[in-house]
Amino acid sequence: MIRTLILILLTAAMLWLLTSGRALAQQQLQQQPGPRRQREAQPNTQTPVPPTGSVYQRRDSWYEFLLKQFNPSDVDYGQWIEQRREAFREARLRNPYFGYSFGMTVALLLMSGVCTKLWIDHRRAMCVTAEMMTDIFNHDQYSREVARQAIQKYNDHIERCNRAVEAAAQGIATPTAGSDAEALRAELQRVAGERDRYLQERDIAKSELEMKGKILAELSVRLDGVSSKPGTTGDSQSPGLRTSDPVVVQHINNLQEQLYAERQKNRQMKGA
Amino acid sequence: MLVAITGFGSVWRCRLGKPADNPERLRRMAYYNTTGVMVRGSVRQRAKIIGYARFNAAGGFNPSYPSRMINRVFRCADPCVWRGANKLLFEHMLAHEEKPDLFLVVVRPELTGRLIVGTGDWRSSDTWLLSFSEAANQQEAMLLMPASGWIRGELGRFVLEPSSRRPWMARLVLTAPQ
Repeated sequence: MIRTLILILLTAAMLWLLTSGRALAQQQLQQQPGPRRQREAQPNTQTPVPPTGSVYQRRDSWYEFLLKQFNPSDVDYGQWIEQRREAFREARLRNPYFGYSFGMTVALLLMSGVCTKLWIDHRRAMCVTAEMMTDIFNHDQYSREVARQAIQKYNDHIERCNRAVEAAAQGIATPTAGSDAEALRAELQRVAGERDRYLQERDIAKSELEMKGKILAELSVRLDGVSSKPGTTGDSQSPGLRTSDPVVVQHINNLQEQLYAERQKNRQMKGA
Repeated sequence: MLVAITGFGSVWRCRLGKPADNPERLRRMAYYNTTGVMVRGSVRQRAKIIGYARFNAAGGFNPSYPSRMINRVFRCADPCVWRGANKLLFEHMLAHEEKPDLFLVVVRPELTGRLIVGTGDWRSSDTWLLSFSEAANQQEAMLLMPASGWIRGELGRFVLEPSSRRPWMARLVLTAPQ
């Protein structure tokens, strides 16, 4: 439905354009337009315009008919443009004032560009400077705040010292000093307790270490005794190897590792 | 017992066969490999747990090319404790590789991080610590591990995984904690 409506509208618009174009052409013929008058002024470049009544008598082709609907007076617009361009060249480009004006215009444009560039650079530099000044200002504020806190701390400390000196001069014990001493005493007792506990653990570890060392030495002696029994021909043949109990060897291996670990622990405790 | 070698310790010693006038004493040479650490530019034993692996020249061990012995399988005696030191005797090298029972593995902190020896769960129970050296931040441990045996270092738990195509080749692989 909408397509049909659009089609009807387009057809009507085309018909209106055709009729209005013909009417305009007839009106222009009656009024003799500018390009036609220009052509009449130069008769050597003018193409003869056939009379309007003879269009249908010559039986033009369909496209000539269509073109004449848009250009009924058969005006040579290309030649008209060429004439205008030549006139412009004569009047403008070959005029020395035109060259001077054109050069000055270009120079002014270049100067404007340079000025704009300088202005942008200056504005950018000013922005960077403003940021730096802001940072400096913030840092200054921070430094002043830190200095104020330090001064306040120092003043408080000096004030407490003065109170302590005055109290000492008057023979009055300051409560803060007493509480500090108590706290330090408690800390000392705690550290002493930890030290005693560590010493006990160290002694226990040492005794375990000695015990395991003894066990290891006994096992080694027993193994040496087994391996050096009569009939053996040296370690390269090592009959003791074949008679060695894997369980015992594994146990010795574990004991060796435990001994190493205990030694490490003992060393760490000594270091502590 | 078949043992495949995956690496050697840093310290090598050798002993000539006896008596001194025996012309075959060179063939009876014994080579001892154990762990060591670098101390002031030289390798020192600094053993915390003493032990060594012994190789016999007559058993096919070539001291000139120790790297050729890596990933080779040796027939070994059972591990034992000899005069206070752990000892593993590599009797002779097999001509053809077989699937080994155990692997000789040398571990350094560069690979596994620092080993916390002596703690309860730093190694699997079927792993045997042959030798262990330590100085400052350096460590070196020589272990006898079965396939799928594991150790735990500072970096995590490392499991010894043999190659599926060549079961005499194995390497320690870091695994996710369970």
